[in-house]
Amino acid sequence: MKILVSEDSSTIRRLVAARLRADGYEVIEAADGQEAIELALSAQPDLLVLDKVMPKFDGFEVIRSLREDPRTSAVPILMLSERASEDDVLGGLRLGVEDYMPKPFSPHELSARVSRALGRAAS
Amino acid sequence: MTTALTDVVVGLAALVVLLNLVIVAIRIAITRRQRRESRLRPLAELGIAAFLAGGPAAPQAPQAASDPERTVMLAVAMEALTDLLGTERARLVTFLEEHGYVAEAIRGLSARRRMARRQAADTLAAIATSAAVPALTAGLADHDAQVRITCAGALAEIGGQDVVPAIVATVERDVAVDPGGVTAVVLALGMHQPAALTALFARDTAPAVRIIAITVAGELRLSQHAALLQACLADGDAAASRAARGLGLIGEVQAVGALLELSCDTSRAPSARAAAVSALGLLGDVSALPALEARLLEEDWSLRAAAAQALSRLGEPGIAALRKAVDSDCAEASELAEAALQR
Repeated sequence: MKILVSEDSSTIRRLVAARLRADGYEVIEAADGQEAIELALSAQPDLLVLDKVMPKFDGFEVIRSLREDPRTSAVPILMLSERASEDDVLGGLRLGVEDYMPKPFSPHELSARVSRALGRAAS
Repeated sequence: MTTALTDVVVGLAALVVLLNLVIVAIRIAITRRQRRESRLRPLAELGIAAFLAGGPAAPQAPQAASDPERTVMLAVAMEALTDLLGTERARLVTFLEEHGYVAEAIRGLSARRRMARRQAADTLAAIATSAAVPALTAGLADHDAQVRITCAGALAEIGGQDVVPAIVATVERDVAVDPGGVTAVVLALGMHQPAALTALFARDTAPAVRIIAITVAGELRLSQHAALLQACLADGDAAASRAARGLGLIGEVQAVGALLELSCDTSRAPSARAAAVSALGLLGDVSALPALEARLLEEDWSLRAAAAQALSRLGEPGIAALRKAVDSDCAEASELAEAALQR
């Protein structure tokens, strides 16, 4: 299973990526929204872990762009956000976000949610 | 005369050259430090990420021997701590304790340079380990208000009941210097040790601190402080306004009588009366209906607006009262009632 982790903080991106690699996933990393779109289209990941606030394109713009392309329109997305207001959560869910995790977060919990989202997508 | 002038010009020129040399030297030092940090940072990030992903049986903690390596390692760890919860956070804190970063910050809290003490206080507040409680408590006596407030905020989160009197003394001392910082400390106290807010409600507490405590208790909906908030309705207008709002947010129906009294008291400021009216709306008690209808006809706009809004929360009886007000002769009340019905 291939997971794309898109997060502008290199510290957090590497933490999440290391956690998911330790769980046996193949992980690719993007440092901003534009790179996330490019990598998602070229590498066709099975799931995206996406930060909401990123340079170039924010998380919502990335989702909109991916949903418009048939290659990525159904890929499950787990969103990380430090400002998870009600509007943020509802906006994300309307765009088809599978799950939301507010920061600060537990990488262990993230790992469990990733596993559940992949299980749902497979069934 | 000419020689003296020449000497001055030469002296000035030498000074300019010297200053330029100093500036260049500083720039070179900054650039070298930035390059060194950008070279070391990925190693520190990967080291911490691998260590945390490895679980409790991880073979090796990230290594940092030299001062620059330790500085970068600490900066990366601080960044990670901000966004981490749970076992990984606890492991990172243990790593920082076992590898001397906490001890180093504790020593930094006694440094002569104010900036070093501030940085040490920030570090200890971010790590939030109980091992730092004695040092943070000592930090409450620092000469610098920022250090004192940072220490107080950290203690509000991780200190026990023993340190509450010292925290209270610090917020009272510093509320005039840094009201925002003190608000953050009281908020932390309300979140982590809500019972400790009782001390801040005392009549002899500095008025500004008392108002912050009343606000925090209400906004955090700390129902255990409802009786104290109700007692504050008899205080000055600023305290009474915040206490009224808090009672509404908590949903303290026992306070309906006291709120009605405040809402009708013409000797009080309109802001306090309007806060009581809004709280009555939040409580949704229909016994407040006649008083709220009467407030629709008050001279003060904020009172009338609060009354219209409160009536719209009282269900069918409130809606009926607003419809009646729409058809009334009082143009101001009619306008506000219509707006409330449309919302």
